[in-house]
Amino acid sequence: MLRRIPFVAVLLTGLAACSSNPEDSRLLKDYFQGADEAEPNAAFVAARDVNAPTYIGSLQTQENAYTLFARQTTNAKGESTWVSPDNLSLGMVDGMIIATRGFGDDQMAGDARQTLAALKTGQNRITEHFVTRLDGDNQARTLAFRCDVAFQKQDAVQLSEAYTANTDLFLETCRNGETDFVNFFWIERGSRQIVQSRQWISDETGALALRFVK
Amino acid sequence: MTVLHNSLGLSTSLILLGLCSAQAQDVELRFPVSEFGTPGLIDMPTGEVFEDGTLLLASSFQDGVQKYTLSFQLTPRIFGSFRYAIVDSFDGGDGARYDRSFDFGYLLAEETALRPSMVVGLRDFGGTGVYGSEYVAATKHFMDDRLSVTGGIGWGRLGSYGGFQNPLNFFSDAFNNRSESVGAGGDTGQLDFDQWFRGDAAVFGGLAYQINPRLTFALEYSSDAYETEIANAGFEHKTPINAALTYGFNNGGGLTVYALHGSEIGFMASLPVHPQKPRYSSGIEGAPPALLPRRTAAALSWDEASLQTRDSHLFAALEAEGIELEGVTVQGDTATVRFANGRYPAAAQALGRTARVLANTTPAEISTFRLEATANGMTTSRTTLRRSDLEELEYDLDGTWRSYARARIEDAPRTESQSVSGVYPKFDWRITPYLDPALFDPDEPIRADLGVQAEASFAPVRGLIFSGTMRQPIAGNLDESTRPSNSVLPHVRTDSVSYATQSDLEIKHLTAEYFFRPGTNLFGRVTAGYLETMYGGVSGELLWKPVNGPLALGAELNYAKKREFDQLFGFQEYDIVTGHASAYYDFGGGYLGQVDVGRYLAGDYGATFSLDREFDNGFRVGAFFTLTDVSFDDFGEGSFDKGIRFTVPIDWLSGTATQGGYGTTIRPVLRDGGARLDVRNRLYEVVRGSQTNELEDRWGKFWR
Repeated sequence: MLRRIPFVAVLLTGLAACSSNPEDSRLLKDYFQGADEAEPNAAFVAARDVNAPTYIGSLQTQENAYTLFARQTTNAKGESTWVSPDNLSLGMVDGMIIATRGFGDDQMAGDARQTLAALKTGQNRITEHFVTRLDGDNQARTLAFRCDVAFQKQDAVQLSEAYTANTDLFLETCRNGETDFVNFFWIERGSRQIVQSRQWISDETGALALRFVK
Repeated sequence: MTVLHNSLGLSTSLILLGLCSAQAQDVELRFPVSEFGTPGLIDMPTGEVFEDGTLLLASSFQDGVQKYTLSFQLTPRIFGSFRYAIVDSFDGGDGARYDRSFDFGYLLAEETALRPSMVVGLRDFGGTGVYGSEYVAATKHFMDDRLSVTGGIGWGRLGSYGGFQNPLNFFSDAFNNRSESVGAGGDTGQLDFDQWFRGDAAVFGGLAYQINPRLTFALEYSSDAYETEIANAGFEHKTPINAALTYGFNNGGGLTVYALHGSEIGFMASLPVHPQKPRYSSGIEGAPPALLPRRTAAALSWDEASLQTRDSHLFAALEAEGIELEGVTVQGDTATVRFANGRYPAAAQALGRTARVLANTTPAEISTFRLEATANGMTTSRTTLRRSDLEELEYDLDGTWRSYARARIEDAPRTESQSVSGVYPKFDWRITPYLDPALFDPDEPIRADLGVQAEASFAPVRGLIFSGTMRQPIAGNLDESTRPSNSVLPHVRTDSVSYATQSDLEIKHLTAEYFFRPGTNLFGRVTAGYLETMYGGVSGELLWKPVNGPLALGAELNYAKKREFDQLFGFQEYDIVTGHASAYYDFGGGYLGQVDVGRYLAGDYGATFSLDREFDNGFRVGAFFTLTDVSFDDFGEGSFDKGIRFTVPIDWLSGTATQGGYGTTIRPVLRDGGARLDVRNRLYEVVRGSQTNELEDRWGKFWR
């Protein structure tokens, strides 16, 4: 599971006690059961039931922190929402993360259209990449990055026992005055789909690795 | 989830994908903190201030002296400190002086390439004068900020070593004389304006050098002669030179060892808290519902017949998000809902989730959502959102501000939604541990009781709440105080020791409250019963607060009768009619001002002035003082009521969407003058959370 309830949260909310408030018991249950035993998110279950496309995701900053993200819906702008059993969600466009929810230091919105275009066409390019996050004072701050999108090598990515994708590995090296990060994209040759990636979310959350589950 | 375990091998390989991580060049700035817990070298102040909003906790220990200081950078230029010091033999003999003091500093000038930063400051300006002094200090940084050099001039204690005639006598000869000797006490608690910057002056200075990212060395020439300590406590002043070595931690905290005047070794620990930087900036609560296409199964199963019942799909969907649907009406293309937010500290987050649930459950033809927020049953605001805006801005890069700009927020003196049947009556209960601290009383720095608390509330109809809290102390030392009241005023607060020692199972409050809306921009409250620990009675309040305005005005009238010390059902003879007219103003930038004018519990008339710094995340630090027609002599120790207070929201600490917080008020001494009835749920704090200013401050949570 990726979403973890810190013990301090349980302690501070005074949940060692009894209450008629369902909010108290909800947090207590989440903490002591853990996501593996907790009732999975209903939207995730519904998406899995209809064999929705799925990613397996792993946070680079937490050991053994992994979960599944199933596509719940896609809006008119082509932005899709992917939900996990442990109540996290991702906003994505063609495999590019444009939002996260529930990670603690979320990416509230993102715009990486130029990078996506470079990956789709397979060209090396300098791009602009924007990320909006919430600061500690609940204010939305948009960061602008200058990124260098560059082809690295061809690579084989095993998506399942039966299928290995032939991909191009691209690095997106981004920086602004305060923060640097590097994203990795494995683009399937032919379809030009992102089948595997490692994408930066925010300073505290770090990077999320995603692999498409065929 | 079996699927997760089956995927372990794959996920492990994903973890191993990590090639290089993002690096934020997040450098924690460090600067020396004096043993007084203020910007400084060792004993001497510097011309620096803390980072805006910093709350600094510091403790220092040397032979026979302990200092505990809480400092707060109230504005980018102003800092204030409260200090509790225990000084052995300060007055001669074997006893200790328990001293409470306040400091104040103002940044006169920021550092530039050519000019040092400059601070003018007061130490112990309202206490007993143990550390009473004033200074002007200047600090300049060199060597890429690794070296800071400070020079300054001090008065009072800071003018007691190497002193010379006060240069301010250029303006007036009155500056030559400082009548009170250091630490004599004087009129404790008064602001001795006529002593400030008077008497001899002396220069001080020093430097701080950052040896490496962890270690900082400080050296200073002190202008404090330690006259009283030499005379009474056997202190030896061998040299004016002090030195210190500080080890810094990643969080900005530090451990310091220092040598004082060639005769003492001391230790200090400091920890800065940055209210703007909680551990989880966007929270760890579960993701909000995604916006679904308009003609989803849920929307198509819309059943208008069951809409005003608890069985509706809308009710269940909102309940899953921690929102209680109290009323709903659909008229034409508009859905109006009234809701109670039981989960989110940020009202904007409750709005955002309610709006998304509505978008996912209402028919496609509904294009406008009107959301009525409530507090204690009262409607406090109505926010109108367009469904198309939600759909457009869900993942918009500037979706936060664009959605706020498109929201219309107005007053809601009357609900325009039809009530959902079965919501009332409501019954809630809770049993929790409690900690009841009493900090820095004149004899003991920390007293506290720990016990079990049972709370229950019953709301038969909207706005009417019967509630009570009982406590059973289990352990603690609140009842060990042996300080009897010596007040010449009616003992309206100084009997607190009797309340602690003569009670066991306690009724903290047992009241009936009625909250109502008398008209547009008006809010009303009537409370009757056992209002607080020491008083029962009746309290009525009327508040005028426009939903979009920074100003609010209130009036409160109370009849209060003093409760028996056992805190059960009995009353004592003393009763009083009190009341206040109040003005509240939100200055913006997180500064809240409040003035309360009226009659206090001892029958004295006067006013309380408060200023709070409230961060948008709810972290709050404030200070207040009260002046009444009670003379300083009659008031007793401290001369007038004053204190500082702070509140730390639970979600700031935990990251979870949990309402409430921890807070306390610290007074140097609790006396009877300027004492106000402590009635629960005063309207301003009840109402403001879901009105425009607060919604705007926390609108970043709308999409969270």
